[in-house]
Amino acid sequence: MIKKISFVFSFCLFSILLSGQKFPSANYLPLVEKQNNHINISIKPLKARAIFFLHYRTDGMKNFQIRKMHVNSSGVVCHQISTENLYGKNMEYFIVEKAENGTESISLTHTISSFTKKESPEIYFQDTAAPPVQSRKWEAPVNVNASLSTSTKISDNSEYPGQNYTANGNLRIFRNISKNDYQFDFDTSFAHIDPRNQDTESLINLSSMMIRLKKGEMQLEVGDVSVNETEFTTSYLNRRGLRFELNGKTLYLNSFYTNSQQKTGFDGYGVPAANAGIFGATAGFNLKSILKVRGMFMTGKDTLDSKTVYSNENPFRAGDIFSLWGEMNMFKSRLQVSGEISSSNYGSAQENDELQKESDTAWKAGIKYNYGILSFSTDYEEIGGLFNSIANLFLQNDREGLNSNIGLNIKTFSWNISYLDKKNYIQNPLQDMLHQKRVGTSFNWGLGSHFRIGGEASRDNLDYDSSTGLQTSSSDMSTNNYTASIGYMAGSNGINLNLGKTESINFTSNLNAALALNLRFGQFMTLNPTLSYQSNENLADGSTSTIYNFYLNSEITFIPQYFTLTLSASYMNNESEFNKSSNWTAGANLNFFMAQIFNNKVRPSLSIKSQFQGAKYGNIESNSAIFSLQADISF
Amino acid sequence: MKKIIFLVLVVICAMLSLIATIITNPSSGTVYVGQNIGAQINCIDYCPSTMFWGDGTTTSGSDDFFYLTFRYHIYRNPGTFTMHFRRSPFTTPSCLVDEYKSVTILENRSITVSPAQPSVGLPITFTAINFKTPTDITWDMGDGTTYTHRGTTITHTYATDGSYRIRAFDWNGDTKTTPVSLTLKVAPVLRVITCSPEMPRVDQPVDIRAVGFKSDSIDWNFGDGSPLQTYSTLVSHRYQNPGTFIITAKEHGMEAALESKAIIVLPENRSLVLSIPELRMDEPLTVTALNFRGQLILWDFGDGTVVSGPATMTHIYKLPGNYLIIARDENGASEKKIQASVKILGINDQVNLEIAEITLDNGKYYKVVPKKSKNIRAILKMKMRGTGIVSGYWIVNNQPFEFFNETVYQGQIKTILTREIPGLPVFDPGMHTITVQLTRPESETVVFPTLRYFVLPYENEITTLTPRDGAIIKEDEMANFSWQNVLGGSYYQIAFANSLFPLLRDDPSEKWLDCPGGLNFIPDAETWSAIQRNKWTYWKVRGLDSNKNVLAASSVQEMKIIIPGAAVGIQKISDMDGNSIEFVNGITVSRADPLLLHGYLTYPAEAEYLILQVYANENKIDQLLFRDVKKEEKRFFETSVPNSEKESRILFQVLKSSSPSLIIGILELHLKKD
Repeated sequence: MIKKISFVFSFCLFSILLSGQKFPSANYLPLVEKQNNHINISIKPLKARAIFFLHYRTDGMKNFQIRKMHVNSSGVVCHQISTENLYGKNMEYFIVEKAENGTESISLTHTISSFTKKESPEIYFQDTAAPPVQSRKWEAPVNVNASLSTSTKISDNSEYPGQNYTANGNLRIFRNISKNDYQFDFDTSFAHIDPRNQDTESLINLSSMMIRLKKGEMQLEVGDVSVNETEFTTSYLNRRGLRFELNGKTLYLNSFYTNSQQKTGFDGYGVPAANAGIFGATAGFNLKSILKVRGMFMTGKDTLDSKTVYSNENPFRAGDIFSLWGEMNMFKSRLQVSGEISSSNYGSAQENDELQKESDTAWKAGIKYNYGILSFSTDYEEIGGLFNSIANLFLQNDREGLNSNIGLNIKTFSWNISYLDKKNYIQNPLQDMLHQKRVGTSFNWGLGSHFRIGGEASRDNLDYDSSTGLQTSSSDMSTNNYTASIGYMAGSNGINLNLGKTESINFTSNLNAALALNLRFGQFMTLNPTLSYQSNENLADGSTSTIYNFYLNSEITFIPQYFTLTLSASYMNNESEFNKSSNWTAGANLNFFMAQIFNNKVRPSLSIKSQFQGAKYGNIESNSAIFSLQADISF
Repeated sequence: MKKIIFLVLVVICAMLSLIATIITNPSSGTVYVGQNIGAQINCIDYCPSTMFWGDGTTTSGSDDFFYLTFRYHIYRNPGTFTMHFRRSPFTTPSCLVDEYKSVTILENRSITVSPAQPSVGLPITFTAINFKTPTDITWDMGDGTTYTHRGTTITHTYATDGSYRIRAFDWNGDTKTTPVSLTLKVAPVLRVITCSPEMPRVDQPVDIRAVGFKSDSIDWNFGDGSPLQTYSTLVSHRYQNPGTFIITAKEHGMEAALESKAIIVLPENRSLVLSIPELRMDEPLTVTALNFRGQLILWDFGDGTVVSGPATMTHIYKLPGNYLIIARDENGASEKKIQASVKILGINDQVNLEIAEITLDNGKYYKVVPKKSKNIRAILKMKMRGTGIVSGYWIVNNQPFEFFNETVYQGQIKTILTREIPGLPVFDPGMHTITVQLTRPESETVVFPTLRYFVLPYENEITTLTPRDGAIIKEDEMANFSWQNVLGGSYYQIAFANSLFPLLRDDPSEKWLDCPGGLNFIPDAETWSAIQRNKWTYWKVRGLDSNKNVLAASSVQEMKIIIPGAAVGIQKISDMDGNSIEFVNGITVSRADPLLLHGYLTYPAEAEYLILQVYANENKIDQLLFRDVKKEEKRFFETSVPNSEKESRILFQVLKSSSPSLIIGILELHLKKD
């Protein structure tokens, strides 16, 4: 009985094995020779007049390619496969022998692995499913966005605990209509701030405002307008006020009346005060795209009453300015020639009554050339010592000189060389004339899609002009500056390392380094640590001071879109020969976001916050801990 | 009778002449204690004599010593004294043996007392006036207390009430002289607070005393916000602000009513005056301290020179820069620093800050951003004088966030931004603060305003719809870029870049194109042709408010525009032995099976990979890979196809394989079985 079962089992097994090949098997052991871009497969035939076919397939294929094998002079049957165009790295093959009588026998299937070291790209096709189409929703007459954040302290053992609660909120009301060549924008935002700095902030602040009416080439703006003409007149003047612009193909008009300083609190709707407003008007024409000419008049007063500006200059300022500038583009805009001449009547004083205006002029001329990988620019300017603009707090006057740049841009590589030669304080009765010369070079190179390296080196020489006879050249000051940076970015991850050294010869040598990481581990953790180091050496007495700083900001997501834990920490250590201090902070906030519960119609959140901090100055230490509960809502 | 009258007259005249022989200087008027008074005689016998001054003191000698020459004497006590000049007995005297002169010495010394109506326990100040040995007085306070070798002013406190006779002995405390005395009535115990001086200036030390209190341990409240302290009955305190303050005191640990006293603190009137606010190196600078109270002042000139000196000092600076001169009154005992700045002109690496502005990147001091927004940075803009290093650090939520160390050059407007990656903390919803602290230049004490940004409790990222991330697009099929509406978005802009960096870092040189369509953008021909071919291009959409402030942005999307037009050609069709088989218009008729097709492909651009797939009646029968294909280069191939069916459709597909793959070329052949 057992024998019978064994026989049936053996028969079945052979049947199964043989059923994989429909032909009788040929007992060949092929010789495989790998060569450059070729594979040679050969056998020694048992039957003299048989024909042999090589069947092979590469990775990912079901079907076999067929080639007839040839008999060489020594009677060996062979075939050479070019691997240059084969996909993948592995190959399967077998040989079919076709006898004269028409019978076929087949060899076992063999594998050739790693027939090439070259990679083959994966093949897949993009999903062509159509994206969801947005249905047009009903639009309200005005859109309203609001947010509120309030917190209360649970515990606070700090020395100056301050207010026990916070209540901050924002309200934005806006509406934008665009139709044909009409455009209407209404956009205004209010902010409620508590606690606040009562000297500088209001409880309710008009944080931004814009009403814009635009038709074709004309537009009228009321609110936070931006006026940017030239360095001598208005350079990125962002102020609350009114502006009208006609920007036609040939005609250009621009008129504005703004506050002289940035409005921060609820300081009205933008009508400037009589003693702190700037009015200006610009008119000009364009000659196709070749020539652009502009003329401007501007007048205004200022009290330097600003919440964002620190100044040790005279607060009361008044000035008028006339300016004319033009720009000519030639050779398909490769060459640009520009120039500006301005005259100002300007004065500043500690008291309004003492204000006395004085006149002066400024001019500037320059060319820019840009073609292919090469760019070049140079300009010469002369700004009088009494020249000033009421609309440009940062104008550097009383100087003249040359500034030149040559740049090379080849794909992601850019290289720049700059030279500057300027005289300063030419008319200043107190300060001797300073002659400044600086040469510098920098490069930036994007390596692939993710890496970027950069470097910069410059030498600046500053000395009293020998023509004044007040100072010898031995009192020159030279400043050398070197920086290097390397950055890596991939998706949400980034690493940046910056190194820099600045040396004011005979005075100070400064070394600094910073490493900043932006790491994201899926959707569950974001880690942003930063390390920075500064060392400052006084070359006169050899004393040094160093600062180390560590800062960490991190978020851990327990349940995406619901529960997060945010962590923050900082440590700073400051050491010099005269003092030593350090301080640290650490915070952990547990946040519960509920926007998903309310289907994103409203977005409330609750947070339990903790903050710990300590400081050590010499032998004096202080520590504190604050715990608070915060609620936010937004829609 | 006449004779008798004449004799009497003679006698009287003779006696009168005898009495009047001592002559004094002054001869008349008032003479006070301690004042010199001279005496002389006008008759001489050249005999020994003695002058008895009448106060117990004498002067002896020959009478010619006094003859017509004033000899002076000082009376130590007030009163009327009789000078007696006696000559020794003489055989034939021509002058009187005894001569007399009466003088009256008046008292001009006195004692004053403060307060005029003192009470028990209250310090009483006694002052001796016109005393002749003002540094050495013996004071008898009348209560058994005696102070010897004391000056003109003395303070004494009586323990019990009553009437006291105070005596002050002049003449080096000689108790044998007549003292100057005063009777003082001391009132019973009274709880009072006294201040000295009564109206101090800011920072001036005030001696505050609790008088008549039942304990020596007093709970003091100085009324200026300084913490409640327990001290003795006498404390010294400095008020740092002007105004009226109420001082209260109570016995420590005892049930007692609070005693209070108002004190007026006058404003600070001390200041420094410089001879010139700006000067050059090696030029003398004179600094004058006005209204300082101490004799000596502790001067710190800011260049390492710290010296004690008078109210007017001259100093020379050796290096240029801004210096802060600090003067502390009372030779440094006063904590209050009276300051003045001086600018020494010349070259050094200390820059001078003239104007600075700190704003957020919307140009304002306030901004609202969604959670995890990358669109927030703070900007510090400075106008400086000089060339040197500016160092400092950003402070976010009262934590040091980021240090900066920048070289600024003469005439350069320096702009420093908070770092981009990682940016300002935007994980926690609610209000956040940011400001900046400069550590160099050291002499600049700049207090920058605190900016605020509000983090909304939700992320606001634009979801892109088409084309999908990583899309491969044929250049002749211009893409429609579309995205979903974002909360608060008024306008949208799109940007394209050849690498990730400009978009990830929001490179300011990146060109952002307005999207008039709102939620979609169809590029014009110029924009579309400007996008590089056969390479990955990155694009990003951002939503803006009406002021063009960025509210939200999409993640960076990838796409590749490829050039289609790969051509597949068949050079030859043969059987396995290489015998050619004719084919016309893509159709061949043959009995052979399989057939061998010899072909080539070309591509009008460069390509890293091209893949040729061969299908026979929907079955993939071959797949070939062509690497590093050059533009218009012919790349040859060979493939076997089955010809077992009656009719077979052979399809060649060229794939531009750039993950994902795209068909860029097709060729069809038809085989017919003969």
